Formats: sequence, structure tokens, C-alpha cells
Amino acid sequence: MRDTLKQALCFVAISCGVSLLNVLLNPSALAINTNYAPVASDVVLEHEFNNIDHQELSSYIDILMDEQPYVIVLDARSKEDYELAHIPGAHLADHYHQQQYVEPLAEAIRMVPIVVVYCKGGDCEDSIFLARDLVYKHAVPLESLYIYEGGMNDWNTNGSPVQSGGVR
Amino acid sequence: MSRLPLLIRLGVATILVSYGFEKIQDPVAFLKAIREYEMFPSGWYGLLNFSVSAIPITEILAALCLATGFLRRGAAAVTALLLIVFSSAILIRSFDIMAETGQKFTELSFDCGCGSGEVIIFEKILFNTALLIGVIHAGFRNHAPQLPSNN
Repeated sequence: MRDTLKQALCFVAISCGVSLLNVLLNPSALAINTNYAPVASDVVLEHEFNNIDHQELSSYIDILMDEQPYVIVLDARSKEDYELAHIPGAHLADHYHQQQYVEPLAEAIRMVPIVVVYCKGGDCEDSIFLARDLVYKHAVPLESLYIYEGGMNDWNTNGSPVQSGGVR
Repeated sequence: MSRLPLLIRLGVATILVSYGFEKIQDPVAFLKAIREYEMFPSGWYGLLNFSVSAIPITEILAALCLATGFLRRGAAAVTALLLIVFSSAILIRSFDIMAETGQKFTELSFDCGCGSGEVIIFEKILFNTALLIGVIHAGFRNHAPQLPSNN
């Protein structure tokens, strides 16, 4: 029994050590010191942001590629989902890898009057989590943030055009 | 018949490795699945994030230990404990969903975060029970050949 306990402690120590190395060295691993879900999941869908529907978002499509954009659209999903299909002109802003994708965009995001954030749609919470981080970590004005709650599911259901590949 | 213990060890190790790799490849999906259990208080996100990294690595290391014999009993004890904790968490969440939706236990399915996507929970609990027996067998059965007694 005592030998089993010693072995178990030794095994746990090795597991923790390897896990820490994974966190430090693996770029796709999640950071330990980041709160990825700042609010309990049952209240998160009631958010404080403006909503934008499919019709209004569609009307901005032609100006999303402008050099000096009036609207920025952020895709809070993973790189894999983004590369498969995203709203044309949307920027990859993976909520779980913000240092890589969101921080380089932060200054531009602060400058535009309308920032639309979306994820998969349905019960997906990542767009709301990202919008909260934009306000509280990146000083983006709350009034400029819009959530497209229907997300990619709604965009596809409406038969709107999509873009695939390349991180913007 | 004498190869059965070895087959059980290798079978358990293969299952644990496949679960571990599936979770390690998509840590975000695993984080979202674990979050659903609300096992950690909201301020303990550091422990939650560390668990997302540590659980699949523990599964892979446990598989290696069970297959090679290194720290076999310790690895089996930790894996058995994890299986008991997570199976209990799955059951508690199942009862919550059943109370909310009125679904029958045998019809209930969701992504339990076990590394195999959405599953029928009744089958998952049965499978985890079998896996637990397999882990205990692989870890605590005496595999060393017995020397003949001189008495």
C-alpha cells in the first residue's frame, strides 16, 4: 500500500512536470494565467453588447476590405474553423490565442466605430468572451462592439458568400 | 489464456493513449467540455487551465507506465482515481440534465469531454466501469512469474 502511494506520488510529480513543460513550450496549449470564461456559462448569453443581425452585417461586406475600414469583423473561432470558411473580410481573432491574433489588431480595433464579433452561433460563447476582453484588456469602447449572435451558422443558413484559407 | 493479462494491459494502454491524444490536439474543446461540469469555482481558472493540459498528459503517461511496467501500480492508482472522479461528474451532470429535460438515462447523450465527442452516457458509464476494472487488473495483478516453492 505504502509502495503504491509512493509510486502514485512519483507518477503525479512526473505528470505535473511534463504538463508544465507542455504549457510553456507548446504554442497551441492554453495559458494557465488567463481566464478564458470570465462569467458562468448560464449567464453569459445575456450580454451587455449591441446586437447586429445578418441583414445589417451583409450591408457592410463591400467595405470590409477598405484600407481605412469603417467596420472591422472579428472571427473568434479557431484558426482551423476560420480557414475552412469565414465571413469575407473578417479577421481571425481566436479567443483562446489572443496574444497571437488579437494583440496585433488591437490598435486598429480601437480606431474604428463598429467592431463586429462572431463565432459559431447558437450556444457559442466565444464571441462574447472576446468582446469582454476587448473592452477590459484592450480598451476598446463598449459602444463600438457588436455581437453577431447568429454567427457562422446563421451566415451559412442565409446562403451568404464565404471566404476560405489564409489568416488575415 | 496466459496472454490475456498482457492483452488487457495493452488494450487499456491503447485506449488511454487515444483519449489523451484526442484531448491534447484540441485543448479548447476539452476546456469547454470540462467547464460544463462546473467542478472548479470561477476564480480557479488557473487550476482549470492546468487540468486541461495535465489530464491528457497523465493519460498518455499512464498508458506508457501500464505498458512498460514502470511505476505501474502508481499510474494505475491515479488513473483509477481519475476515472472514478470523472465518471461521478458525468453521472451528476446527467442527473441535472435529466431533471431539467425529463430525458431517460438510457437516451441521454452529450460530449462528456472524455475525448470521444458526443456519446450515449449510459454506454459511456458502462465503458468507464469496464476500463476501471481493466486499469485495476493491469496495475495491481501480479505479473511477475512465481518461483516454485521449495517447501
